[in-house]
Amino acid sequence: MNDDVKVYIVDDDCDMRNSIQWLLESVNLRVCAYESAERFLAEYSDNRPGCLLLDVRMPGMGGLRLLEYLQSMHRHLPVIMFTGYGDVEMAVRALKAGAFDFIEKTAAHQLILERVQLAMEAGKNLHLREVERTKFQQLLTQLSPREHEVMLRIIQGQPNKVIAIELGLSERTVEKHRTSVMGKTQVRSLAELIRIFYLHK
Amino acid sequence: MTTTEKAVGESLELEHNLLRRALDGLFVYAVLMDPNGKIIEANNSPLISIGIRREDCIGTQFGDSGAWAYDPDVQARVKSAVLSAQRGETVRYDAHLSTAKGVITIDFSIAPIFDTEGHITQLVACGVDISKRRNAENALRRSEERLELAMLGAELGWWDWDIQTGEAAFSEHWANMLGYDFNDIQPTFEAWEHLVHPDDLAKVKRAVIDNLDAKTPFFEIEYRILSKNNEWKWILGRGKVVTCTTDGKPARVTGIDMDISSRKDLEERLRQRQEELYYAQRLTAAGELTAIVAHELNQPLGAINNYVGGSLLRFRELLSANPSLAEVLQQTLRLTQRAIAVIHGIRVLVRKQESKLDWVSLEAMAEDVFIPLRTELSNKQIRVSLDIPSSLPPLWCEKVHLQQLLLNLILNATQAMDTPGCSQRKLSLCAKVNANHKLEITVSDTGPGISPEIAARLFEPFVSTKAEGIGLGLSICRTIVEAYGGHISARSVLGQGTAFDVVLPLVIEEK
Repeated sequence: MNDDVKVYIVDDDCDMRNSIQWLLESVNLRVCAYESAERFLAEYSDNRPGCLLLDVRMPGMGGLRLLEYLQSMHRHLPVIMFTGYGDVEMAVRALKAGAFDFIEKTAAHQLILERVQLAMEAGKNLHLREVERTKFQQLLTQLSPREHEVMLRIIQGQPNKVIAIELGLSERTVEKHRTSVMGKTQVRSLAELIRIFYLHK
Repeated sequence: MTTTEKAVGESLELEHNLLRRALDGLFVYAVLMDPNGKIIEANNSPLISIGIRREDCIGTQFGDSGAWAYDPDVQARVKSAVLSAQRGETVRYDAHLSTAKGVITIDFSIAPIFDTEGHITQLVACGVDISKRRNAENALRRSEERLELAMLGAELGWWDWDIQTGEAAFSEHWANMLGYDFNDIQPTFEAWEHLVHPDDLAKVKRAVIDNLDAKTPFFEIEYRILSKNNEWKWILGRGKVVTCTTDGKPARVTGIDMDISSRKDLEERLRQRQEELYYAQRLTAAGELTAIVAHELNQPLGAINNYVGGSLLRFRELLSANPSLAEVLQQTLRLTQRAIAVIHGIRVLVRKQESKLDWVSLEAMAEDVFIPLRTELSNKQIRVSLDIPSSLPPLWCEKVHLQQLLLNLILNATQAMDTPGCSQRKLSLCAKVNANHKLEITVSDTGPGISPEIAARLFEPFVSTKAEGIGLGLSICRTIVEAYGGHISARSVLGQGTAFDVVLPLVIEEK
């Protein structure tokens, strides 16, 4: 398992925090625990893969408000809401606000582990996508304006001949730009370019 | 003149003088006239009191006397009375005379004196000053009129019960008050007794009897009485024994009754509203208490769960070598889950009684909450300022939740200002829709404020600034607000006051 992938826990109850850490570490997960939303925000740095186990009811910035904030900032960190008691309304609202899942604090330990694993998988995927997106955005900046123009037309499925006529270029020049776009964006096929482009547009 | 004649003359003189003194001693105007109305004799002392000398009027015409010469009408009436007497009639009337002492009233009469043959020999006029009595009578009548007016104005009816005879007099308004005509009710104690509500009769009788036994200075009772249209009216009755017999037993009881049905009605509505509120409060408190217990127990139970579950995984090899330890851990896990299930069951049970969502107007709700508090607020000299625009959209929530929320915040504000040092007492309730299309409700007071240590834990259960408080009010508020996806916070400045801000999301009506 990737060493960078971690389960973040935010819960103001020390016993709950420590016990969850104990449980997760029993299956060799890496855990970082914080006693408040504010503390988490101060120490968590972006681009870390993993998932967040978040207590709903805490003093200060509550769980729901941290969730809302994270949704506007780091959409790649799946959040599992940790509810003290089966508050369905609260859970529904959390899910609407973008939570990945919710678990009752009293759920059986197998269930907790199962859900955390799922969230971790999702977190890893989201992280990979995020990495890929950042990289792709970076690569796009290396394209010349003309190459960018050609790329947009390729993605829309225009044949080289049409692109050449519309841009007033020779077919050969268009072909050169196409090769250059594929090279600079580090994709192996047109299909991959289209996928990455629409994923991170 | 012979000796005998002289003796007779002296004897007559003596008799005349005796009569004269006797007449003078009477405080009655007595005038003797000849049949023509000329004054022969008049007693002196009363005349002096009205400024007339006896010597001056002897031999003058009675009708021309200075006592009434100033007023032609009075004089004409006297003259006509003299004429009547001359015709053999007796006349008696109340004459009003102006004197140096003011207007006096004279019970005046004039009558002829007949000889044995029926001829009129003299006329005798008699007058008794009845000014004082008449004034007293007038004063009494006026005072009765005033009393009647005052009673009408105050919508009071009076009654007067003669214990000896059992007769009961009452004012017309007393009957009208109950929708009856004056003649509909028999003027007896029994008639009244029949109208009193059977459930109240014993209480009323007790109060009256206590007063009859002189255990109380007066009685004051609220009771129901049957009105003419067969409805029970609430009456406030006050009364007392006013006269006793010579041996000290009560003889007359009198009192006033007032129709207090509308006040009773209002009281009843207030009582019901208050009961509803307190019921809601208890219900929410019970729910909140369960929630707190559940929360507080679930945390450690969940932690046990995690530790034991984690150990089962972490020490897998150790445990397979020690099956009995594995068994103990499994049992621990099972029991923990059992405890969790029990708590969950209680939560579900309490929650079952809730959930009746409806569109609720904040404006109407605020009014509802303030009505039963009116007396308390005015007693504590707290001014209330409401700023709730009627354009505010309604809230989609459970009515008792909003009620509970407002009530708790308002009661807190009220109690915060109930300190001797708090001079300006103002409670404000404002509401508006903010830029994020959420409803903002602010309840503020001008109390002493909250210390920072308490402010930090204000919404936690069992935190209270009040000696007798259990500290659930704000915790309940938070539970309610959060249940609707809202947020509650407090702003407090020591010495200036505290404001609670509630932000609630508005639900758009789904078509």
